[in-house]
Amino acid sequence: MSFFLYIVAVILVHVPGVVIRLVPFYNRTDHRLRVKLYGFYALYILIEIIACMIIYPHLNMTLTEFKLILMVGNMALFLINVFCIHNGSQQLFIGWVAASIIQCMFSIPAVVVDRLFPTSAMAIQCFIFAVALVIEFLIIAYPLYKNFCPMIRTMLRSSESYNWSHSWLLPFFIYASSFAYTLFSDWSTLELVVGRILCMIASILSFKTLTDRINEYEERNELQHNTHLLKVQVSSMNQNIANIQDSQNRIRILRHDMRHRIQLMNTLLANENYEEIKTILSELNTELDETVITTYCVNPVLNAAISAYVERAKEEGFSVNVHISLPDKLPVDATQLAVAISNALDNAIHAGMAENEKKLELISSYNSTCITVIIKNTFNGNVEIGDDGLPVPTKNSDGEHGIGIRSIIAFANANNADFTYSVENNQFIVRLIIWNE
Amino acid sequence: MNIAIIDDLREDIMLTEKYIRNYFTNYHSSIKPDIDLYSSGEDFLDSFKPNKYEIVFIDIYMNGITGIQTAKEIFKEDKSACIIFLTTSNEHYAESFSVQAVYYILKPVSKNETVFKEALDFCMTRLALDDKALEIKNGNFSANILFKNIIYIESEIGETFLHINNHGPVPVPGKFTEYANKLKNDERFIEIYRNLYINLDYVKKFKDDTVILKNDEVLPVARRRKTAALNSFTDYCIWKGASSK
Repeated sequence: MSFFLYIVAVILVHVPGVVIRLVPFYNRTDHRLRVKLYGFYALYILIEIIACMIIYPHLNMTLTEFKLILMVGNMALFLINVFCIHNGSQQLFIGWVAASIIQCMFSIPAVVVDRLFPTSAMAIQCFIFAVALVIEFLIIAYPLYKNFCPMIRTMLRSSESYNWSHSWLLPFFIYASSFAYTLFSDWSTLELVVGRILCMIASILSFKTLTDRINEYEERNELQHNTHLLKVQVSSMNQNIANIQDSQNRIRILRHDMRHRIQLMNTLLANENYEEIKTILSELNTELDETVITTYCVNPVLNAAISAYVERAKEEGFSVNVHISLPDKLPVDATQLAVAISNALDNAIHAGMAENEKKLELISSYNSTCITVIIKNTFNGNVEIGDDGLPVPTKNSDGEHGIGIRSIIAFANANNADFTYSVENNQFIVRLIIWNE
Repeated sequence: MNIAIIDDLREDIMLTEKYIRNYFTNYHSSIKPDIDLYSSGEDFLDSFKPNKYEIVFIDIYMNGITGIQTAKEIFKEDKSACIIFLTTSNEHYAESFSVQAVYYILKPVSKNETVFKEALDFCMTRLALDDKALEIKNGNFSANILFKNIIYIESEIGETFLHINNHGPVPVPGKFTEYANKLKNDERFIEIYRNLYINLDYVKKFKDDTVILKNDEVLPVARRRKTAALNSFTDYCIWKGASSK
């Protein structure tokens, strides 16, 4: 019986640790990696059970030994995550904070056992402890998920360039200090619980402070990025003005030359020199065509944004198809829409650059209910989708991809619009719907 | 099929008419196009009535009011007509699309035959949407409900209800899946919830986990279908709104 209770207790005490370490990364890991993680977790628990059976053949485990199992287990799960999910120092930071939370969670059931079952057999104490731990976990799991996951998302999407790679030492030392002074004490005391809760708060606060800094940093980056996009638009507008001036000059010259050409053609007509007349007419046609300025839409701000990125895409060797249909009166601020479309086009060019067949498509349409915009680019890679439902910027990217998407979402949220993206038939497709009401 | 051509150049009108007749002879021989010719926007608008023409070809540069202004007047009163612009220069390309033209063809038509065919193909597909119908059979009784009049179809406790424009829910005999299979092949119908297909033409807005219809009715959207519904809606609007240059 004791044997069975010990085994159940050893399995149960690892449940919260496994869940806390798996759920935040569930959507970020592919099926193979998840299987690998499950395998390692199961293998570790199995080894622990076998080790218990070998080391304690009569199962007269002491309290310190059971606690050691908990601590070692906590550490082992942490190492499995660090080993399997390669997120560098972000993973270390998250791992130590999770370890602190788990350690704090151990204290409360320990007090329950200490106060209510001080004289029970060790196996029963361990079993009650394990059951109480699982109940405690069930109670706090949802609030923990709601608060912990956004912070993890923020941390994982940030890049290593923020100079915080050594900051994981902070939750590590908090955890280590708590670990050191409790290992050889009694089951638990209220003082210990208070100490551990304070350690956990310190750990979470360090996490929160860091993620707040990351958010702030990202917001600043986004602002800089959008300012850059606006600069691109302004320079495109200047280019358009230059084109218009150039076109006006050409028209002025054409008008000036026209009399001479008519005179010339009259003479040629009198001499029946039709071939020469044809040549002159063809030249005239070509010169007229050169005065045409390509405009993609009537709105000058949007036209500047689209022109800038279409030109860039063409320079990069993309085959570009633009088809813009927009109402005269836009239901949103044209500059904001221009920034959102610029972001999407910037991303599309960025992502499609590595493809053999570079294609970019921008189509918009409108009706009585909404304006719809689709941006497509060729894309053969895999998009890793985070648990916030957004593409995770790749490790070697400069992070701009993420900024662009977030900027479009910010536009959608502020402007009664919906935004989706998908990968279909080797194309990355961004869709934007701006509702009229 | 009623078609109008508005152009102030006689030769261009004749050429466009010839190409239209050739198109129908080659690809839709059963349809005899009835083509009216107008030499100015004013002439056309004097005799224009909504739903009179399915397809209108308009030259952008004309004496008097321009093609774009003419198209705006048409669009005000008749949103279902397919407007195709014809012009010698693509300078007004951007402006033309603020009036919901379905195609934009550069003159001479003889140099842009492929685009001309594409434009008419697109118009024919779009117009065919109006003719598709759902057959409802009950013993000897049989009725056809036009797809365009179906707002949505749902199944409740084994019974299928068809919500028809201006009629409200109508119980129909037979299995829901049989109707659903016919509707889901049509691009305007999508399943937004288990046993609930809506017609995208009646969507006013997707909001949170619901869809608000143009008659202000609110229907649920399954969370896992929301993105697919938004994607289908966008694709449908883009397809219906305008096509390539």
